[in-house]
Amino acid sequence: MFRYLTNHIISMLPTLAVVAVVGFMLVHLTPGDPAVFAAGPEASPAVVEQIRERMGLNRPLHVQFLAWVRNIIVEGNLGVSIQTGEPVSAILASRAEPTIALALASFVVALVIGVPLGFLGAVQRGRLGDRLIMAVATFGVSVPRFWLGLMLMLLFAVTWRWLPVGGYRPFSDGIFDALRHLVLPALALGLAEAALIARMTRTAMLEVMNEDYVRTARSKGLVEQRVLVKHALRTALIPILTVAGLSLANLLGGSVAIEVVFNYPGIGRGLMTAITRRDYPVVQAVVLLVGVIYMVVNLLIDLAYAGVDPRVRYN
Amino acid sequence: MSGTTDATRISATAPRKKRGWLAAMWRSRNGRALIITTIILAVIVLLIAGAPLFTSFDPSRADPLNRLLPPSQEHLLGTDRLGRDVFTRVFYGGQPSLIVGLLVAVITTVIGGIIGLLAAFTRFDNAIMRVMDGFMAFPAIILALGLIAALGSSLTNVVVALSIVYVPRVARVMRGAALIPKAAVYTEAARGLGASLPRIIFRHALPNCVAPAIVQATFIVAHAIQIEATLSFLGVGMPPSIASWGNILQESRQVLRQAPWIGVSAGLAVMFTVLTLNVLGDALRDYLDPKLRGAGDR
Repeated sequence: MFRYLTNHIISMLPTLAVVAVVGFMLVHLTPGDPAVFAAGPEASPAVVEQIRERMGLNRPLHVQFLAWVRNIIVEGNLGVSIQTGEPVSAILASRAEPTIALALASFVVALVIGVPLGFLGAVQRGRLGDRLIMAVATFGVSVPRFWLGLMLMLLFAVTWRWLPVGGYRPFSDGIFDALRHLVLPALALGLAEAALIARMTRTAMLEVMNEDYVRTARSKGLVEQRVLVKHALRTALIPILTVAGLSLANLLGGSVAIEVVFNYPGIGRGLMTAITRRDYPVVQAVVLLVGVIYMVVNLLIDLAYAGVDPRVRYN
Repeated sequence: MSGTTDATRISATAPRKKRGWLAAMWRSRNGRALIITTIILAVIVLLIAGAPLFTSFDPSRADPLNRLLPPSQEHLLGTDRLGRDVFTRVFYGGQPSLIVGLLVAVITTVIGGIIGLLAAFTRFDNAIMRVMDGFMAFPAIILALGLIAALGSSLTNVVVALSIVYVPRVARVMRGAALIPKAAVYTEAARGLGASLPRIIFRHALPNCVAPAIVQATFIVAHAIQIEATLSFLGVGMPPSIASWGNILQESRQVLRQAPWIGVSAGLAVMFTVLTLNVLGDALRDYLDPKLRGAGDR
């Protein structure tokens, strides 16, 4: 197991390096001079030069890159916000909780709706139920999430006033209020993901239902329900797990527009604020963070795979 | 004697067969789905491209006396905050979206195709694919936002950013498609007969990539339209002067309470177009190669 783990992490390194280079280069693609943005429009050339010196912008690109990586790995230092002077890590930490809460809530929505629908679709293969479920899933994939958010808000918050229009309440201030604020954004974000998971679950189930051991289970006289749930669904859960994991990574990074729609104080809205204010260190850090989260989730999925499925050999 | 009857029957049906590959397509269920979706998409494209023909309003001319009017005989979908006709804007708004979608699909298919083939046929496979993996570690919207933040917002930069986002995805599909004929016996035979690498790529690998490339390109048009709308909605996509769906939705947000018809209609336009493209992608996949079922999502 340990060797499997280390091999896996080593094989991730080149990709991780690419992620770091992409994150780093984003700022250096900019047509303007980051030092000028940092100094502000009225700064004198001397001040700009000073800032350039302090930010290390006059050193060769690869030296800057290595210094940036070293700062992150050795000191956990993601840089300082140009706008507020706060450390970027502190900004991210203060916005992490709402984003994680939203991602988990949407994940629950996606699984609770997606897996049963995909399961039903596979069982009903080719019949009306299946066609209907797949049609709804295609709809779900095609709706822009932020628009779904706007429409949910229009109906449930503006017209009927059942739920708040937006914002976030921490769970420590009362679970009921926190949930009321989470429902609409979580639905808006989770429904499209539910559609993807439904499609995946259906495909995985259909594949498994053709396997020999499913036929054996049937022929030894097991009740159909038991065959489907205990034998088929259990194996089908492995590929579903993969998609679900990637989904979670996507939800953590992809909630930008939903956070903006619902005025939700998470990392996504922080990213938008940083982009409009040209606060590059923050943009850079968020992009890097999201990329790394995705890779870590990928690693965890592979480990889970090895744990769940005895067919996956450890080397 | 049965031989002759068979022969006459064949000769009798032959001209009918020749007349219609379309008719033959219509007879299969996958083919029929494909024809119907193509027609629906063609109608959408014609409506968007031909917008000037059936609305007499200028999509960007403000009319301060007629602001936020509800839908009426004259303004079928009402007017927006500046008094512009929403019906006209929704149809014109499809033009930048379609242009972006098509450009991104073409660019990514060409560049992604080249990269995918290079990966499949050269010893740089591992290096190329690790770089592609690095790009794919970012959700599409995050990478697009980061690139737009760096490049600045304009139609060209939206196309560039979305192309960078989707090239790795296309490259992965194309590499996968090219590896199948690469391992096939007929390719080995061709190599044994002394065929050069370019000949093997063009004669054997490329034809096998066409079907997956078309399917993938269709999905990319759909994705690109969605992401473009999201970027513009966030205020960093198309410049606000362009009546794009994302921009209309962005403006609709402030008046959602007073004039819900703006946001509803523009969003439905995006959804219906993307839905048609997604269904078309599925139909193409089922028609061109049923074995590909399940690939190409996301």
